[in-house]
Amino acid sequence: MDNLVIGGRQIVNRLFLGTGKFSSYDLIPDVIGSSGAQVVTVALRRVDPGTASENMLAYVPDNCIVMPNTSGARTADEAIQIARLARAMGCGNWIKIEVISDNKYLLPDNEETICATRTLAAEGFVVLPYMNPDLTAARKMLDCGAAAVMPLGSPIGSNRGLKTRELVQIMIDELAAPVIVDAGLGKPSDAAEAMEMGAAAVLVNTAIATAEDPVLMAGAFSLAVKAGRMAYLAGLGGESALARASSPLTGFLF
Amino acid sequence: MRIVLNGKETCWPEETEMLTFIRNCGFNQERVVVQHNGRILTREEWTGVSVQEDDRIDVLQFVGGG
Repeated sequence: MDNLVIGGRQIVNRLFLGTGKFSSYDLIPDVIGSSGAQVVTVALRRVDPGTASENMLAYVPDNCIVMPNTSGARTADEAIQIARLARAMGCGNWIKIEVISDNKYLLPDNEETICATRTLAAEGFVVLPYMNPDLTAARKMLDCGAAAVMPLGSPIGSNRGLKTRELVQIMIDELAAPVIVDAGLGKPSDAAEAMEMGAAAVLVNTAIATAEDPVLMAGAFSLAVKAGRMAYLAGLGGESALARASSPLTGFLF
Repeated sequence: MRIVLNGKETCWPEETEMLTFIRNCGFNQERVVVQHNGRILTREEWTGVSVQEDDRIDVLQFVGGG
């Protein structure tokens, strides 16, 4: 079995799903079903009194791992508080640390993320930090107890694909821990590319949620992730600058 | 009396047990988490803590997010 193990959990499906931006929560069960996702992210927000707000967890099957994020946190302390609040909801101890102070590109603050990782891992959280792809920062996060690291492919919600390819490849090559590409993957081929490179998983939200048919797109991403993983395990053939004939160079008719 | 609920100044008639406060505000108690003056309350504490003058209360729930 080629399962991914994080926080003691066996994960068969290497497509992690974000649940933001869907036009209706009603879509989410079908999207989860179509994607096969086992790990599902959610956010924590204030709720206005007296509003008929929906319980989004009612749309997530019980066998999914709920991974709250700390979106809205600008510092390690804020991320830590959001993580503790999320755990108090009683849906497990996984946390995606997200510390962002840059409102234009929503790039994460690796230094604050390292600090939050240290505290939350010590408190028993299964910590998956969203990060700028940086080998040294990733090593520090793992030393602090991160269960995996999640470098961005391109800015959140941009659908621009794996613009950080070289740096992510270095992380995959050098780190023993799972590297999960999070953010910016816009097409199934982007997800396949990350998986072919050896990423342990990918986390996709916007590309699925904003597709014309999110359920169909979730299935497409699932297939791409599986294909990319199989290709990685199979071992990609080498590249060359010049052509190398596929047919025998002997026995020509002419 | 004055309290700050989810960052907004709010008038509340009297000192109230947190559980009653949550119910009276219309929150679904099964799906929210409560922070009282910066401290996260367990559900068990909702019956032992009162909302008082100048308290800061945050009530949060999970929503879709990436």
